[in-house]
Amino acid sequence: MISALRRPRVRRRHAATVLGLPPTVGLGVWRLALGVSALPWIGATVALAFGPGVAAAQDFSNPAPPWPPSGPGILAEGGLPGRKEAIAFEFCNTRWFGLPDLTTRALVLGAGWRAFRVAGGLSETGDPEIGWKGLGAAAGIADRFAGAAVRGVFRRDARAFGRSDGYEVGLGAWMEAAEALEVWTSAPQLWTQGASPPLRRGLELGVGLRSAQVKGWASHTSLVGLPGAGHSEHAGGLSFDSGPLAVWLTARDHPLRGGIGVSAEARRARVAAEIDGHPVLGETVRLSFGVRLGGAP
Amino acid sequence: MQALLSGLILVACAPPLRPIIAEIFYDAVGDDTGHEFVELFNPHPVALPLAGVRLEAGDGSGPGRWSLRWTGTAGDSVGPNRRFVIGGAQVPMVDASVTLDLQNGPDAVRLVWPDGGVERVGYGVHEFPEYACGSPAVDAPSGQSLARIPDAADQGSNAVDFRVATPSPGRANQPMRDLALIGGSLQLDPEQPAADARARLRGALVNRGATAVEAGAATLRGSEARAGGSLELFLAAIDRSLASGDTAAFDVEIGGLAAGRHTITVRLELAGDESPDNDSDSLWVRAGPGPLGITEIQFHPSSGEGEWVEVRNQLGVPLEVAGFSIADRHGTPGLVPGAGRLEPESLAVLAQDRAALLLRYPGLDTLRVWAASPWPSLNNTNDSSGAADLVVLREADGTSSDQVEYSAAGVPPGVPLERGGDGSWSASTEPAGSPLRPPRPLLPLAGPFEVEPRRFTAGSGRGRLAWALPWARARIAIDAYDLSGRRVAPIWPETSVAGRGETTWQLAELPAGLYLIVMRARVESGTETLAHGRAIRVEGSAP
Repeated sequence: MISALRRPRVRRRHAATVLGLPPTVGLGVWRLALGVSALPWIGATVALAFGPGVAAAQDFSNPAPPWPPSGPGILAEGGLPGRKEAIAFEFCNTRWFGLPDLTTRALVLGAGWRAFRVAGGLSETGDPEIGWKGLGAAAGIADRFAGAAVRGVFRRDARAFGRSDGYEVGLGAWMEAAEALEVWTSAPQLWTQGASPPLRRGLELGVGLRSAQVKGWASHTSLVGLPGAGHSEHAGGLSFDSGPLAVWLTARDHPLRGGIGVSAEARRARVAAEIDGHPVLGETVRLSFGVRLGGAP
Repeated sequence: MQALLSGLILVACAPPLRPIIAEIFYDAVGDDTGHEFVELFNPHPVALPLAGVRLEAGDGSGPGRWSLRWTGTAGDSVGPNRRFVIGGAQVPMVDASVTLDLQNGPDAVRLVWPDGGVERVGYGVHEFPEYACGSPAVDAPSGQSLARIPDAADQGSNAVDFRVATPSPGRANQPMRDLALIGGSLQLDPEQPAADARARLRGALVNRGATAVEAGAATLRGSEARAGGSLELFLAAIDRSLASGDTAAFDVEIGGLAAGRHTITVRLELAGDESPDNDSDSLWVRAGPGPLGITEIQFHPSSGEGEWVEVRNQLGVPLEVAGFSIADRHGTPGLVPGAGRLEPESLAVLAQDRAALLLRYPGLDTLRVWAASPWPSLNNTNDSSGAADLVVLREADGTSSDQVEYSAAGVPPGVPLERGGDGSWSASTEPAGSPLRPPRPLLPLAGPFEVEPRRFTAGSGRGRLAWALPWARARIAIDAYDLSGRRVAPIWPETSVAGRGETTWQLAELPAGLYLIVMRARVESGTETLAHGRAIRVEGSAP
């Protein structure tokens, strides 16, 4: 018990140092921001009790394991900043359920300095009759033990009707609850205004476990905007890292389905692909190409 | 022993060693005059005189209302096991011709013998016990008599001794050997088969004789009447024995009937049958399309126009519609009154409320819109069999002209069902239907599944769903999914449809967002399946 308290204390001192604050003040800031120290454990317990899940993305949906967060796409989409600071951009292409008239193309740029993380991106989805354009931005802080960010998206319909503009703003946060155990939460649409987003997204709670080469996660997402549509969604998965290569498997419910993704890095470039199967709708294919321009590897 | 004999005498309705009343016919179909009769039967081995016996009719509406109808003369007698018929001039084998003027029940007849002996037979529900012996017999319906069965039965109660029977003056009420077809039991399944299609003929028979009929002793012969003779359809042996009073059902397959009307006759053949007049029955049936066909059914109107059914003259020559009737599965046929002439291939509408229909569709040709009364109430929801109701058109003589069993599943409210060019039924491609017009031809589709429009306003709007499948018939279901792949709303429950079809869709509870409208289809007879989706956008503000 004593040793379990000592190790986090050392790391938190480091987190406070990164923020440029006295160690004791830094510890207090984290506890104030995320609640008492028991909160992560409660979050983890809740998430495990409800089972696995992820809130579906719609604008900056890059192929990557939902946990741990990496790259600017997940920061812009879910408000979850990565541990490592880097300047990077990603180009993503998503073909939803094999429908030729429902494709998302997105360009996301991210940057980090010390604990600060920012991301911004542009996206375009669908043909002119049903589609929309999105402008997203996110800003937050993160270190090795925790992170939090605010994110927002402005959308305009491709047909640009009078009331077609819509805004959404949300938050995301994560922290290390214990050695190799992390919890996160994301509420990407806390505030919405104007035209309704194409997909309503609820509160997501997640928990991740990691070792040197294997990571696992599970999440629970509540439903919003769909009266009578049934239960919350759950998802989970595993990812395996081997040097520059990574493979991950995902599973979701309602209906039960799964996906597989793979990524590879060479020098500063990263390519990734992911296929999500659906028993009725077919496959959603995500591709991305990204370049890291600087920062930690 | 004397007490026992006294008891036996007390429970008998007829005086000993007297002829007994064996049959009463008091209510002929139509005018009773000359058709009524009372049959006496002598069950004893010696001839018995009728001199002085009085036949009286009782009016059950009050006590003591007996009136004389006939008195036996010195020359009247009944031989051993013989019958004596007292009746009107129209009664065959009558022995004493007299106008009986019997009333329908609750009434009675009685024989009053010169020595004071009396036999009473009451029928109907009586208030005064003097009009019956024991409990009165049932009141026989028009055209049927009350007959003592067996002929010598005397068990102390009219209700026990007498049954409703086919009138048989001068003949035994229960022959020793008599196998009979039960009248009206013949049925063809389906009632109106397709031309040259096989069908099943069902019916029932009863052993009315006093003795059993052995297995294999009787045969059923079915034939179809044709100009210049008849064509035998089947010959089947009754392969089970039938005790007295037993009934049996039969079910035989008959070969394909050519298109048109047919008269199918079924005859029972039994050696020694004593009542040949109940051995045959016939059925009018139609195979293939009738003169008037059903082309459109509005069973759930939403604009106050009432239910209606569109029909088409399929006869090839002008057709008088008067006398046709329309019915549902269980209801009384609604008659089409008055005169109406329909040209070949012309359409007409039979309406529940003609005035309301013409108000809803002001452009209709009023000469081809007829009210049918009483209107059959067509069901709006399916029962456990998967069908909502059956619409039946019949000619004036009751022969089926067309029958359509429909399913209400997946038919949008207010939209009629319409027969397509291939004979299949589906929801009309026009939301208000097309009374007096043929179905709108469907244009080719760019893909297997289309949704129009692709952009709606939340809470309102009506769309069109169209499909073109590689099969003639299929079962399809249409659902809405959100972008995360969750099924959020059913659009159309699984429904049997033609390979090419359309329907309307009322946007209901889908909130603003982007949705995939997905059609899942499977061939109606087979295992092939497919799914196609189209994305739509529902506009609206964020809550």
